This record gives sequence, structure tokens and C-alpha cells, in this order.
Amino acid sequence: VERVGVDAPLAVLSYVTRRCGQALLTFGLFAVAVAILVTGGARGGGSALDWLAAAARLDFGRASDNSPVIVAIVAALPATALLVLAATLIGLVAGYGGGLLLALTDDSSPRRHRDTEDVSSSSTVRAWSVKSRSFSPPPPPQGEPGGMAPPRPPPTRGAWRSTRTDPANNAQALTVRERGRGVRAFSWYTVVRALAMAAEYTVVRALAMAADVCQGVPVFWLGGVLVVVLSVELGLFPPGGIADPALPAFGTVSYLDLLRARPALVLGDLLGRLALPALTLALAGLATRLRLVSTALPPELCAPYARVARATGLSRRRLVWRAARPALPVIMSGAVGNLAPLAGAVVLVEYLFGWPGLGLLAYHAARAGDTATLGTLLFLFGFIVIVAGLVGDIAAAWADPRLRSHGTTP
Amino acid sequence: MSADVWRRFRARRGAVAALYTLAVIVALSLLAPLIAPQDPSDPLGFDPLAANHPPTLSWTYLFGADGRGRDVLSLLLWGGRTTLSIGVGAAILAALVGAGLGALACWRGGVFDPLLSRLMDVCGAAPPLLVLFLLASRLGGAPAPVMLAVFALGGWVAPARLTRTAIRAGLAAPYVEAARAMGVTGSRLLFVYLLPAALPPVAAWTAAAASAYVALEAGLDFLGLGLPAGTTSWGTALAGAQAAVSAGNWWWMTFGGIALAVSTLALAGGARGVADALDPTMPVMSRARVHTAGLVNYWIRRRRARDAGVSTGTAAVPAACLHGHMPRCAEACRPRWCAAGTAAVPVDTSPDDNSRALGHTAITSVRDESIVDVGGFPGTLPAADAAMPRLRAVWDAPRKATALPSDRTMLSWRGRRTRPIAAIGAALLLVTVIGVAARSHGMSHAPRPAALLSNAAAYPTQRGQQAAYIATATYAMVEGVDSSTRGLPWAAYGSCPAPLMGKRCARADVQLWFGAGQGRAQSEGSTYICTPRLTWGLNPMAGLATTVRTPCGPLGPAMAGLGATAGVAQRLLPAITRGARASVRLTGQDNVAGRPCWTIALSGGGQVCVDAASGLALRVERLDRAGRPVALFLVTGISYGLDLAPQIFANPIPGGRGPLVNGLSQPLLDIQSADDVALFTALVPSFIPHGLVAQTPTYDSFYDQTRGYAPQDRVRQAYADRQGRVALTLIETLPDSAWDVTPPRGRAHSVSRQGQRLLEWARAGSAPALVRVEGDGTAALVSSRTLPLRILEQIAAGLR
Repeated sequence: VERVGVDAPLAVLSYVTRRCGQALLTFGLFAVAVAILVTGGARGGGSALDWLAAAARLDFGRASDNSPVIVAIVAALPATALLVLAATLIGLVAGYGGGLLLALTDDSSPRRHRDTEDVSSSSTVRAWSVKSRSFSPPPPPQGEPGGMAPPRPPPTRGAWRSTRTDPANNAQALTVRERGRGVRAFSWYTVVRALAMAAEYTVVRALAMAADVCQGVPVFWLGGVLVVVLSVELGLFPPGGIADPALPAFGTVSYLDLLRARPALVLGDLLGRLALPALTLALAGLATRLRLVSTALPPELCAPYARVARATGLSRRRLVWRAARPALPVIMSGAVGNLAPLAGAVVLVEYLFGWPGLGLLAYHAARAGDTATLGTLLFLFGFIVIVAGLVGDIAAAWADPRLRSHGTTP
Repeated sequence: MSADVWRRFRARRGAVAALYTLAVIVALSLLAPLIAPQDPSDPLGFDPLAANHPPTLSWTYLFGADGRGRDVLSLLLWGGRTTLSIGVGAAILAALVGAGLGALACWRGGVFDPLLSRLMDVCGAAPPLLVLFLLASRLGGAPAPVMLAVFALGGWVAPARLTRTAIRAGLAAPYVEAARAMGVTGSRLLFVYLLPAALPPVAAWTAAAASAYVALEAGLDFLGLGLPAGTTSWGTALAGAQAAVSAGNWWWMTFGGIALAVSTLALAGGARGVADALDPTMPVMSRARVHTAGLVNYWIRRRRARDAGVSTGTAAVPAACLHGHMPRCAEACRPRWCAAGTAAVPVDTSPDDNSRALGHTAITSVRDESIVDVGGFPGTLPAADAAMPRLRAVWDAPRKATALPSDRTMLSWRGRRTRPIAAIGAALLLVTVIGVAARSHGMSHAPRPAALLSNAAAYPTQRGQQAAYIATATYAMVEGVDSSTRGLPWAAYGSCPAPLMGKRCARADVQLWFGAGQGRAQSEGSTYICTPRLTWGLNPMAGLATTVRTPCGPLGPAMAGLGATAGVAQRLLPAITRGARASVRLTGQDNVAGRPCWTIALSGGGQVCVDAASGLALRVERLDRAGRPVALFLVTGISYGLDLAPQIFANPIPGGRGPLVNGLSQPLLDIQSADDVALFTALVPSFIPHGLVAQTPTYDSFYDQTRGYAPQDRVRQAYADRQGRVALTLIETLPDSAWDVTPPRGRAHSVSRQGQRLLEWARAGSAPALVRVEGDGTAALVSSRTLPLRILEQIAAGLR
């Protein structure tokens, strides 16, 4: 076992310091850019420098209704935080779980190749090629003893459908594998397994496709459709707002009092109203997440260590969870990269659902031509993105043992 | 390379479908001037009376009409141009800039690289939406170039990163090392060896980003913060559709959304196809397609064999054959597939062209595949023996020459390839022909200006001729005004009123209202319209009963009524003060309803009196050539307590709706009754044509379910409910119309002055009738040559 270098903490520290410096520089540049945008490059009293100086004191000016900007933002923050948090939660669960399923059922993922080919042609060892992202091509079989496979029965309608969803391959794969283990070809177990796999395959494909569609569709339209279907037609959720009109306004003292007094009522109302916007927001970014997970996983799943682990008896499910860990940096960086588009989605979703958060604030500010509020929101959001990028990078580096051993990142 | 890429792209069904879809959408958008039934950007090009026209089987209203009467089909056809060009243009621009800068950073290195990294971080940290908001509020609108630039500014980061990564990987790659060893340096190395490696990810990103930008642009327009008012895009077409859905007008939202969704999906699907096609490590064909292809071939072959009277049995080729050598396979199983092959047979390919022959070959080496249509290439096997050498050659050659990327599959459909294109072309041609024919035969219902203004005798019962003209003129003028006025009009009202926070307030641009005997221009760009029916003038199409029964109905009419001219004039104001348009000029001061006003002359012979304090238009007049008013709109907002403070529309009572007056929530629903026709009905019942009342949804819109008043009772009731708080409005006459209630000249005199300033413009020669109702209920002022004195006195008494 290679011994980890003694200077690992130092390497980490140096990396973190370097990265922090970069982030600080980025933030400075960003702040200047925002200041110029807000002040329009004016000289004198309202200059960019003044804005920066004020911003350093957390004084972001006054909105068009002459109230301090920061007050409105702080008031709107909890709603947005709630929304984004819920959406992230949904997205994480659905994206991560779905991605795992997708990776496991993906017909281009190497798992099946390994199952079918490695077992059956035991004489060849096939390597996962990083460059070509596939296994090395199998040597052409030298002709099987039988010479001819049994002819396929003429397809029926059902066969057509099931062939499209590929159970035949699954069945054959299983057959081959069972044969490799010395089990005779046909058994009902095989058939049931094949059917189950086909069903799983179909369902997962369909869900992935649905996620694709959800992401492809503009978010406001998606939200509108959800409202019409789930809220107007089925009446499952209230269509908008953050609190029932009968309740006190969200975030006020009386609201909090009521929350303390009757938590079930208030929280139920809140969750019911949170569901639709959070769902919309989560669906809008789900496909990316799915693809991220499902493409980041397979290479890990057939990495040498995974084979070794599998050989030593680790179950496949366990392996998947293990394999997911090295894929984490990729997934995380993808999530951070999605933050900026998320802002647009948040604005649209909050507008659509009347969710009194930062997005709605931005919308109203834009409506009123309130540059101070908009600038502050931009500033705040850039800050969040930069910090998230920093944290994500550091966490990724932390998860990557190469940093600890060599002091470098990929 | 490109042929290879195209083949790989073609091999993906989804990508090809996406491409075709996209081609159709682009072609339809390009053909819009030819086939669209209307031109939505032309204020006279559509018929406001057709608002919310449901979809029918006419070319014009195939997809129905939106709340302004614009045909949805036209909106989509024209809007596609704007939206797609912004989205795709921004993506391409960003890709070019990003690839260039990324290559520069990596290639030049040195100080560029860290500098560019920081720049990328900064640009990547700013969400384009917020930047666009900020710029829009600074610049006063986000015209297409600005939007495109902002998208590109935020978007170039990703392609730059991709390019940089690709080039950096390329610099370490053996083939680049080899090239360097051969003496390739400088730009040749960059452009020939390094940059092509960056092409796949950047191309894929471009298509994906185009999809995202199209959606983002539409979202911005949907919020009403995107393109300037009057621009036709998919987003502006969808603005306001949300509210319409809740009123049952589903078509507007549905078709617009489908167009948008299909194009974004097609772009995204194309992006994946491009990415896969450009990535040499991906298999050429998905496995599912192999199966399908195999089965299709199987069926085709069986059928052909049956037609030829050849019994072929299953005609399957042993899978093992394919993994080994083709010749051996051929010998082993010749009888079977040769039978099929000979049954198939039209000979048409040139035998010496290996690649073409290969193009006809369905070869798979998928191990489990037992049906492989080796014999399914028509024509290559007229005689098995003669064909064998060639097949062998084909089989051997390309494996070496073109180095098939994987051993999986190679299949193409030479014979079928042209069919979808032909079908699409034919469909487009058909649509074009239909559209052109429909347009030329007058099937489109778009009224032209001449039609709008001619036939005056028939008009008045439907719409006010002069007033229609004024509205149209005002509209046209407002549309022409600099977009910097965006966002201004309702600054006085603040944002969406608090009671509506939970609802969805929609927005559209400028709307024409055609009431009976009047037209009204309304700037929805500044109005929160919560009524699903945006027009309730004399629209026979508008469902009467459903008009007001919507949760967010109340504020709409009120705001609309008040904002009708207000928004218009307020949008005009900046243009006036800056002198941007010579056709609009400040002409003097006046006093309307006791409020000092600026008088603004509009081009086309109109005049607006704008409240000096609030900027609301209190009076809009249409002047004839001699400068005499022939039509008048009067908005006296005093009775609302309309000192135009924002808080009057903010109702602090939980669940309360409407403005708070005297501590009570005022249901604003009935303020709709202040609509001109209704009031006219109330005031001068004897002059109202019968049919008009019945067909006026206005009138129906304050129908009381429990009481069911008679027409004038309703109005009076509504009026009394307001206790004089109704702010009103106008009555105007139209010369030469059925509405012309002009009495013999010389009898007209004002009834009462009541301390209010009379409008003095009722001079001899013109025949306007002006009923002016002050909101406080104290004064009714009628300056008229049109109404009998007795009625005027009654009115005055009633109002007092």
C-alpha cells in the first residue's frame, strides 16, 4: 500500500489557500462589475466606488419605495431558501436514485458487458479503456461448436414491443451467465428475472425520458401545466402563495406565533403550498442531474478496484454505493455549475406561484425599475455562486485522494 | 469525417426526428410572411372583436385567437423568428467567443490563462436573467441585441472551459506530439490538430444552450420584462395565457406552449445527437434500433419472399456466422438467405463502390442477434455466386479501410433516407399553398385599415368607428414609442397589488378596446389584468357568464378602466419630454376634473390631457381637422380617492380584495359597470339600440346572480353601491352613425355647472355629446347637442 505523503495536510492547505485567493479575486472583480452595472459608470456621488464602499457596510441603498433594500431581501430570503432547499432535496433524491437506476439499466453501460462477456468468454480479459470510454473490443469468437444458434421465432406483436425494450438481451445475458456458472440454460427463474429486468428497464427509460421532457420544456410552461393539472383539475395543491389568506402573512410575528401554537396546521399549509413550486423547480433540473449521475457512475463501476471488490464478495448494490463516492466530485461540480441557470428558474417559478421570495422581489424590482434592489440581488447571487464554487471545489478536492497524496488536483 | 458524422447522426432516430422537427419549425417561421393569416405586429392587422376566439377549422383561427384577438397561429409563426433567432444566435455567438477565448487562453498561456479563468468565474457567477433585469431597468427595456449580448456574455464560459480542456488534453496527446515531431507548429497545429477535438463538446453545448436560451427568452417575455412591447415572440404570445387558461381559454397557452416545448425539445434532442455523432467512441447505433431494424428487415423480407412466391421459412442467419468470417457464413447459410435475397431483388447499386454497397448492408455483430438481414440489401444478390466475391470484398474492405468504430453495428437505409425529407417538404409545400390560398381568398379575417374605417353605417352597432381609429392610432403611436418607457406606467401603483400576490397576474402589451361607440387603447404592459377575458366590449365571442367568475377578477376591470388611457399617456410621457418624436408634443395646460393637466397633442389629430401629478391620462380626445374634438375619453379618477397613491390598491385586510375605502374592502367588480356602454345604457336608455344591450358582455358582467336586475337598474344599483365612487368615463357620439342621437341643433345646453369647470369644446358644427359624471356624485355635467334637456336633467338629478 502506498503510503500517503506526510505533507498531505500541507498540500491541502496550500490548495485551499490558493483556491480561496482565486475566489476572493473573482469576488472582487464581480463586485466591481456589479457596481458598474448598478451605477452605470457614473462619476461623482453615485459612482461605482461609492456603491462598493456602501456595499462593504452592507448598505445597499434604498428601493424605489424608499425602504432599505437589505430589509426587503432579508424578508424575502426565507421563502426562497425554503423553496430552493425543498427543490434541492427532491432533486437530490430523484436525481441520485434515478441516476443510479439509469446507470444500472443503461444498455450502453459496461455492466452488462461485463456480465455477459467476461463470464462467457473467460479466456479473455477486457479492459475498460478510459480514452475510448468502452471496453476493448472482444476478439471474434472462433465459432461456437453448434455453429448455428437456434432460429429466432417469428416475432409477434408482444415480441416486437419487448424487443424494443430489450428484454431479449437481458434474457440472453442471463442465459449466458447462468451457463457460465454451470446452470442449464432455461429456467423459470431466468424468465422471471428477464421480465423483471425488462420492466425495470422500461420504467426507468420512461422516467428518464419524462425527465428529459420536463427539462426541455420551458419552466414556466411546465409550472403552468402542473398547476392546471394538479391544482386546478385535481385540486391536490393550492395553486399559489405561501400561506393561506386566512392565516397571517408569512414571516410575520403573528405567523410565527401561530406556528408555535398550531404547528400542524401552519406547517401543513406551508408544505402543501411548497409542493408545486418545489416540484417544478426540481423537475426543471432533474435531467441534468440524472445524466450527470448516470454518466459519472459506469466508469467507476468497472474500474479495477470495483472488479476487485466484486471479486472479493462485495454485493453489487454495495458496490454501487461505493462507486458513487469517487464519482461525487463530478456530480458536485455539475450541481454547482447549475446554480446560475437555477436563478432564472427561481424567478420564473416564484412569479408563477406567487411565492414571495427573492425571485418575486427581483421581478417586482425589475417592474418598478428598481436598480438598487436588482443590483443587490445580483451581488448576493454572485456571492452565493462564488462561495458555492469554492466550497464545491474544496470538497471535491477533499474527496479526491490524489490531492492528499500528490498535492495536485486533476 | 463529415460524412461519417452525418451517418452517425442519422443513425440516431431521436436526433433525426429532432432535426426534422427543427427544420419544419424553422421553415414555418421563415415562411411566416407567406402563410401566416395575420401580421400580429400590425395594429390594424387583427380583429380585436375576435378576442378569445376558440380554435376552429378556419385557417385564421386554426389555433384560436388570444385575448387581443390576434390569431395564435400567426403569433406562433411570427414569434418563432424572434425567439429562435435570439436563442440560436446567442448560443452560436457564445460558442464562438468561448471557443476563441478558451483556445487563446490555453494556447497563449502566460498571463492570459489565470486572467481568463477569473473572467470566466465572474461571468459564470452572474445569472443572465438578473443581469438582464438590471440592464433592462437601466436601459429601459431589453431589445433583442441586448438580450442576445447578455446571453452570450453569460454563456461563453462553458464553451471556453470545454475548449480549454480539450486543447489541454490534446497538447498531451500522442497524435499532437507526432504532429509536432513532424514539424507542425503555430496556428496550423492549433486549428488542424487541437481545435477539432473541441468541436464535439462545443457543438453539443451550442445546441443545448440554444434550447435553454429559447426557453429563457420566452420566460423573460412571459414575465413581461423581455422584448419591448409589440414585439412578437413566443414568450409575448404566452404572456397572459396563464390567466386565460383559468377562464377556459386553453388554446392560447396550449398551442404556444407546445410550439415552445417542441422546439426546445428538438434543440435539446439535436444537441444530444450532435454530441453522440461527433464523439467517435460512441456506438453508431443504439441497440434498440438494431432490434427494430432487424425486425423490420425481417418482415420486409418475409413479405417480399411471399410476394415472389418463395417460401423462406424463418430466413434467419445464425449469429455465429457474423462473428466469424463472412464468406464462411455465406457458404454455411447460403440457401436460406439467398432465397430471400433473390426474392428481393431489384438491382440498382453500382457493384464497384464498396462504401455504397456497404451502405446497403445490414450487418450486425451483436452477439445475441439472431436475425440479421444480410440478405436484406436489395439488389446485391441477383445470383448468389456472382455476388459472393463482392460481398466478401465489401466485408473485408471497410473493416480495414474505414475502421468501423466498434464492432457493433453498421446499418443505413439508403432507400428510405429521402422519404422523410420529401414528406416534410411536401407537407411544407402544402401548408404554404393552403396558407397563401387562404390569405389571397380572404379567408383570413384580418381587417385592413380601409375595411376598419369604411362601412360606417354598419359599424356603430359593433364598434365605434372614430374611436376605433383613435384607439388604433394611439396604439400604433405607443408601439412606436421608445421602449425606455417600459415599466414606468404603473410605478404609481407599485407592483402587483397585495391581495393578488397569491394569484397570477398576467400581462400583455397594449390592448385595444372597442366598446360600443368608442374605442380605447389600454396599455396592459402596465396593467395587471386579472380578468381572464381581456376584452369585454362588444365581443360576442366572449362567454358572458364566465367572464367575471374568476378568483382574481376584481382588480382587473378597475385597473383596466383606470389604466386604459393612463398607461398609454404615461408611456407617451418620456417620449414627449425628450422630444423623441416630433409627432407628439406638449401643447399646453388644462384642467380636467379639477386637476391640472398637461395637454399633449398626438399625431393623427388626437390630444391627451395628462394629470400633472400622477401622469395618468384623464382625458383623451380625438380632434378633427379643425381641432375640434369628435370623440372623447374621460377618466376621472377622483372618486376612487384616486390621489393615485399606491396603497389604495393594497388591501391590508387578510383575504380582503379590492381597495380599502372608508375601512371597507370595496369589491371592485362592479366598477366594471362604469364601463361606458353600461353607463350610457343607464343614462340614456331610450337611445340604446336593443340588440346592443343584449350583446354587451359588460352589461352581463355585473349580472347579479341573486337579484338579476333589469339593465338600467343594474347600472344604477351598481352606481349606488359605489355611492358615487365610480370614476367615469365617457360618452361620445359618432356622427353619421346609428348611435347618433343628435337632436336638432341649438337646443343643446349644459344642464348644470355645479361648480365644476365645463368642458367648453362643444362648439357649433361639431356634434359631440359629453356626459361627464363626477365621481363624488355631486355633479353631472353634460355638454351636449345630443340629449334632450329633460333626460339630462333627470340624469343630473339622479346623480345628485
